[in-house]
Amino acid sequence: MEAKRNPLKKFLSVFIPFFVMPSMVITGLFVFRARGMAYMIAAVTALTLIVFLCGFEKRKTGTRRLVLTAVFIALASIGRVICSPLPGVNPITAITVLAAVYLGGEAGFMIGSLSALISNIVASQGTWSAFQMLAWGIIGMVAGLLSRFLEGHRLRLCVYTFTAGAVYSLIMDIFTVIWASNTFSFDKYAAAIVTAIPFTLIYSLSNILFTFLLEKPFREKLGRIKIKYDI
Amino acid sequence: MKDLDSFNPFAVFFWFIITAVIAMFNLNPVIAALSFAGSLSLLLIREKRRRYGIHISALLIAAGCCLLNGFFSHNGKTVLLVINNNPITAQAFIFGLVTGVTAASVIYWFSTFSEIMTSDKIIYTLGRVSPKAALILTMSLRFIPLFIGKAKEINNSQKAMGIYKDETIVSRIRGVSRVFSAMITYATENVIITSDSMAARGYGSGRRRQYSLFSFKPRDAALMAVTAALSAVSFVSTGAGYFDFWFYPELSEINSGAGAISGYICFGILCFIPAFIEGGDRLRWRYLKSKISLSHIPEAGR
Amino acid sequence: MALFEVKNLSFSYPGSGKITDCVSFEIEQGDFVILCGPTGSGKTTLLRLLKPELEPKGELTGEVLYKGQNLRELDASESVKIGFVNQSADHQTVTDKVWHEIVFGMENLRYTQSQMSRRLAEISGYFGISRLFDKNISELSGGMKQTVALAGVLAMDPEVIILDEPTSQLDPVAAGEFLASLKKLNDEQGITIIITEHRLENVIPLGNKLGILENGRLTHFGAVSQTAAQIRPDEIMFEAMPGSVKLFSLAPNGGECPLNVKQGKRFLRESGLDKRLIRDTAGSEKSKNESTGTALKIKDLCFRYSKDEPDALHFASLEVKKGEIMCVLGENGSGKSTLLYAVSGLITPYSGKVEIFGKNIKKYSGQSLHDNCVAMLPQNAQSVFVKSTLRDELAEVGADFDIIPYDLGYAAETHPYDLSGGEMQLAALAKVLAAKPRLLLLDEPTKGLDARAKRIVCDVLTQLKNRGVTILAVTHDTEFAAMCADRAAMFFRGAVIAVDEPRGFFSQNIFYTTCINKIVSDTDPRLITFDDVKNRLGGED
Repeated sequence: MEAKRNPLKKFLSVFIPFFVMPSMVITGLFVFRARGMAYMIAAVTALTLIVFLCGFEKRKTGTRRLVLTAVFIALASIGRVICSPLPGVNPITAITVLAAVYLGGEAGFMIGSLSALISNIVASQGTWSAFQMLAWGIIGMVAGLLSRFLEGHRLRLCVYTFTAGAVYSLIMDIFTVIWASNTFSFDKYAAAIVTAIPFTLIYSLSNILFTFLLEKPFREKLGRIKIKYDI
Repeated sequence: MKDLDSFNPFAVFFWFIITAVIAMFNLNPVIAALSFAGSLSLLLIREKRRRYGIHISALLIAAGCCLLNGFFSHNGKTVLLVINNNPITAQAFIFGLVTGVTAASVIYWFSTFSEIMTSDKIIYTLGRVSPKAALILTMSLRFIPLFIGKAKEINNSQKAMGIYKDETIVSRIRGVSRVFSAMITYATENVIITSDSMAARGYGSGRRRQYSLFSFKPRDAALMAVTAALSAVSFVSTGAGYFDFWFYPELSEINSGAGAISGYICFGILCFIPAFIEGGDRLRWRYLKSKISLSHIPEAGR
Repeated sequence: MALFEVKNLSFSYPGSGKITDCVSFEIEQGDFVILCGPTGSGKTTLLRLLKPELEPKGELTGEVLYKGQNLRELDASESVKIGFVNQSADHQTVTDKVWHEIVFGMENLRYTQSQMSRRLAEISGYFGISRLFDKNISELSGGMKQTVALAGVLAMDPEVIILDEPTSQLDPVAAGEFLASLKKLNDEQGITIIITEHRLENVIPLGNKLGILENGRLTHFGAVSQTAAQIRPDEIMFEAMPGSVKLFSLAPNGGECPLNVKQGKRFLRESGLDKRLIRDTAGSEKSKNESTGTALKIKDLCFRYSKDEPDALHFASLEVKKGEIMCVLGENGSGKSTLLYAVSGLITPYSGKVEIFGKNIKKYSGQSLHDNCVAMLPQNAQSVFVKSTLRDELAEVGADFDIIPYDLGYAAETHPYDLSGGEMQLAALAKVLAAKPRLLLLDEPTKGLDARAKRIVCDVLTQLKNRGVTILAVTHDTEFAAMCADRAAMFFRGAVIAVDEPRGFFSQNIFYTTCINKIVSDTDPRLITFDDVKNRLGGED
């Protein structure tokens, strides 16, 4: 399927986005003054996004897998728009995770990040778009990497989406704090987390519900397609 | 035509992101005021008919920030009144007001931005970074209306078959899941046709070259160069602390050194560039229209 | 040197019999080749074997040469000279905008910006679609989508275009326009066309070569009129042939086989067949269906989809008697499907009345309209299925395979989407019949079906009628209506403008009638199907 890559390269491709960039942010948090840090987080987010997208650019994706990726982006975006009247409820995480388990990490990243981008065309585009793209993208990518562990296990999938949803909310709260008060302080972060608890809870529970409902159709249908069309 | 819409999306995107980021991450009354004035005037120049909704939401957000911070933040020296032993201070209100005005301006910026950046332009801009992602994006945008139409069709079919009952809530939820499940089948089973159609047209034979509807003209380069120069000054000002402003315990003075002033001026120009472009364009057309003699155009004489 | 040389080509999928069996033929540059055969005869597989990227996986013997070179050795820039268009307009368009669809192939081949711009301009001009340039593909009609798909293939400057039933999902007008644009490409640009079709009436007059496949074997291949003349009435494909070809079989005089109505009329005169058909039969026809009560009564129905649109139904009135098959015919967008939605309770008209079995539709509360009463088979059978095998599908609604008078048991373990068009239609019908409807509504029941499947659907419907089910079908298909309707209605601009039993109905129509009727109408307008003509001739012996 995919060519074996050399281990160092593989290590770096994980190391840079997951360790270098976050540590840049953390250093920024303590060393730079608040304002510089806000810029830096924005820049790091954008850069990470670009690094990921460029990384996938070089990989060869089968045409069918590519089309399936687009299909699930469309389904996830429709789902989000349909659910938009209910605050905190949207199926993007569940669909991204379930599709990523069958289609792999790259597709997972694309589904998560591009669903965020597309559904924001209807909702509203903003600086948060970049944060959402990155957050959902990573959730999908990790699900793809864990696919052996997750595939076919409804319970594990539910636990994963629940955790992913909670982590997503925690990350987005960092963004909220920085945006609203322009500095990052743990007091305010804690306050933001507390105020957001109802939303986080609704969001995480709805994730479990969606995962629970969608797991079976995804397993049956994607399983069949994967065999029938040799993906 | 020199509407903002006709500029290269990449140039507009570049200008836009830089301006919005500077506005968002500096809490400074002057920056907030400039950003607000620039975004509002751009919105007003561009809008074809009054849109009250957006002004209401901007007002609500500004007022909300102002009141929330005023009543819940008790920093600041100038106490206006005391409620439950908690001081309500002028500084807290002003902090809230500046945050609110910034937030309102961001709403205006992004509203105009969403209007300018149509899906074609998003795809084009994304394609500069990742052609693959851009391709997936355009395919998804093709699928969305297709699937919505299909979902309606499936829903109607299932209803009109008369087999399923939908009288209770449970049966209704089951109905929705049935439609969604059928949707997934429909969407995934037909993937093969799309991918064959792509393969038949040479997809997968190597790197693609993206066709762009948008050419990069000298004025796009000019816009980007001006944006880069002006924002550089603004960034330097931020970095050097010229834009720093404290609200607590007392409002600090607005920095009026030469460095700060030039920073403000540069950011101000940055904010008003699109309004200049749009406004100039309107004026030109008004002038040109009066010159166009309708009698030369056969269809327009009616 | 021939463009395509196919030599002893045999192909089989893993674990199945031969799909194509020792097929050999040659196609010259500039040919317009029509390949036909019943569903499952291996047409699609054969077409895909001619296009390297789409070659199915399986066991292959024999070879295909393209300009003397083995097809598998072509590189990407050569193999795009073989264009491919298939039947699904919705799924073969890849991008969201018209312009993007046209340049998609050129992007893959790394054309330069200026080459792409120029080709885009040329193609838009050629098809007259400049105005649609910025449109979303989802806003286009089915016919326009197919045209855009064709334009996307043409942008790569193909030498040959292979089309797999490109018009099967289109209405007759759009299908005619699409085929005409193929003819124009063939004549004016010299592009070779290879097409499979089951609506042969429109396409046979356009081609110069005709091939017939049966069970993977190429039973006939050659110039159209010779080949058509060779088809014997006992062959499967005879049924699908245009009326003129069928007439020719009644009096083969060794001359040219007539391919269209004009030639058919001439043949009728020259062969003396017209004299034999004249027979005074006035009064011999009597209405079979004596009134046994009304199943459905629609009175002055008005409906519109949104405030600013014109009425989709405008004072539509219609009466359907118990136990008859009523076909409503009309062009696309005339509101015929809307009529069915109103009867099945999917939409609520703003004025007028629908009475079903003597009871106002508003008085049927909730589910009672569907219990043992009204059911609709939607236009697209795919939207009926939710399970992964046909057996589950029927078990889910408590139906079994006996419910339709046709044996589908052999396909029980098949995924519904893997069924052929005709099987899928019957499977969907089986599911719909689970509610034991007394009034069955059908929306385009023959869309995308070949002649044999159409005949089967027709038989099944007639048997259902004999069991007492009333059937209301809307369709474009005049042949189908002539074959099985008890009465036919003409629908135009939201209302029924004429109702009659089929013989009377079609004998008064000039344009909207069957191909046979057009040819023989000068002799006797009351002959509407080939069976009518045969019976008339049979009667003289």
